[in-house]
Amino acid sequence: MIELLRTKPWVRRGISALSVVLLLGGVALVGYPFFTNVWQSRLQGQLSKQLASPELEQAYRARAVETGDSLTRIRIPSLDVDAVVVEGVTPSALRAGAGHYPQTPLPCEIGNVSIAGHRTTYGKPFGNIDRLKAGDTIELTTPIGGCVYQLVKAPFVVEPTDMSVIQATAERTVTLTTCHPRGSAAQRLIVQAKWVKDLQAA
Amino acid sequence: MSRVRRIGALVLTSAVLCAFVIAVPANAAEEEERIITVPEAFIASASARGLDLNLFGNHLTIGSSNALIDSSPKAQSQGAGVAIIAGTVADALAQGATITSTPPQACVVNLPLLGLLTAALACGEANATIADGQPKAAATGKIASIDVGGSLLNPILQAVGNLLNSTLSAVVDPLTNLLGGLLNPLLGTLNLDLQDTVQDLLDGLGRVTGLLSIRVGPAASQAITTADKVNGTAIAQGAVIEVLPGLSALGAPLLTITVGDARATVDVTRPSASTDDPTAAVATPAFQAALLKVDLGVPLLGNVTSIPVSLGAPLVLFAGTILESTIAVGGGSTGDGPNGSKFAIADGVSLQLLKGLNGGIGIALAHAEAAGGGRSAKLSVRQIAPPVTQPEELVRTGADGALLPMAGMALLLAAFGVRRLVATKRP
Repeated sequence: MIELLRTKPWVRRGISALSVVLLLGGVALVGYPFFTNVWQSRLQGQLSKQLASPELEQAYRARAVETGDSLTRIRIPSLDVDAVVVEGVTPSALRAGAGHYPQTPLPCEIGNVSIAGHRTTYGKPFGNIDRLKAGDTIELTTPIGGCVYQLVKAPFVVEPTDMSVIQATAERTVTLTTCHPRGSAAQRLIVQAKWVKDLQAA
Repeated sequence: MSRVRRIGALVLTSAVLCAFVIAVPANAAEEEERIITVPEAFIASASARGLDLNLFGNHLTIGSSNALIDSSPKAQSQGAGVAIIAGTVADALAQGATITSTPPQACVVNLPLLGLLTAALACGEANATIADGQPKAAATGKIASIDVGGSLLNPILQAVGNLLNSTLSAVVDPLTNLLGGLLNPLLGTLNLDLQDTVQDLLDGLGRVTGLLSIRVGPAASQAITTADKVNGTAIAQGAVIEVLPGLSALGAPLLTITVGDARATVDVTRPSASTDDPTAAVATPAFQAALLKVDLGVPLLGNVTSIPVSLGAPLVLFAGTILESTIAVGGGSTGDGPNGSKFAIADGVSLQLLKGLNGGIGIALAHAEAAGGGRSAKLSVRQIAPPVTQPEELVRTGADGALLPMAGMALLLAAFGVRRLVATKRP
């Protein structure tokens, strides 16, 4: 190999080209989280405007919010989280940062409202939900009103196939899901809270 | 040559960086084929007020109604005999799971108000329904009659109580300051002159059954939906007001004011098919202002004087006396609201009666308003939503957060190592 490098110019050129490809790939992968955060930040601005629009309010009242459209705003005061959650949990919808499981009730309704959010990319809205504790609150604000939920227990870890955490409940609850440990999809970190009060209309 | 390679590498790197920012679509959802329907939207409202009374500083609204419908769908209405008396107010709301609301009529008989007047019968009724997605709301507020107490005349009667046998001419000077300009119109109505006695005058005043007698028609509001239009209509039926009823020997009042209906309406067309034309739903407003007639004097004696009142030219009667009164006719108007909606207003008649008597009585009669607007349904073939499938596991989020940068560093190190290898082994 070394002799080829010494004697064959085309080998040197080929390996030089390989180094360029490796360089480009390395830069792209190192910068990927940063790029996703920039993208998510730009998208959140658009989603905030959509959330305040009368067209979305009408779609919300008709329970006809499309996948990828704004659904609710989530605030977690103890973590300084404030983000718009979209409808749906497809990979493209989750570029907004957090998405609503479509088979679960709408925010503030009876049942288990479930929301999935990124932990390390796309704005990482659920990046620090492992720090939540019992008594912390989660606010959901929709075009037609809002409500406050309160944790009754600390976050806990489940297997990815444990769908019971987003199953229906008889009372008003909210469930947040994200991957665990940070940067891995081996498990899921779950936060659950119960409804405490309604808010004025948004 | 190496410089060319470096420049080329920089250009390619910049292109890769920009691709992450520019190439990602504006909406988080993938651009899949989807059919989107924006449903039709409309709203119509109506509000009518029979009478707004300001009695010596006390305010009261008598005979009022409101109706509202929209395309959510919702139908809501309220009818009130007297707005501040809960027993005469009926509310109806149809929305969501409730498609019919018809509360019982709310009535109170012989209702005393403000300690100064009595309403013979005050009622409010309302109903709201949603049938086949078409909301309808209607309400009525009505009151049979209102009598304002004659006890307010007592200060005048007491002032002349000691002069029963004197002639009017002997006492007119001392009384002038007390009665102001009251005498001349009173004497004319009572068919008296200054040679008659004060007793004759007191007999006339003694026949007065009250200060005011008001008979006002119902105030009705309606908002309905049909297959081809949405309509809001408000009708405030008129009233007859008698000032000092029973003053003359024949029972006629000093002043009779007759007010006609005031009507306001708005129609909004409903296009039969979906369209992108924002002007397809047309709102058309209309109004009819209340007509007014004022009669002064005693009808059966032939000395009734009808006084015309024109828009913009208020009528002033008994100027400078306790009885000074101003009557003004309101007109109407139509105009544009937000988002292509229209409104219509029929202004009522405004009366300021007996201003010299503790500030007097203010009455606003027969006011009606209606508003409405709409937008047709829009159908756009843009995308087809992907089927919603049940996930087999909880959604993956954040798995690549640390791995990718680590892989990137590994590639950068590999790139550096390869470059060093090529550089050191160059002949």
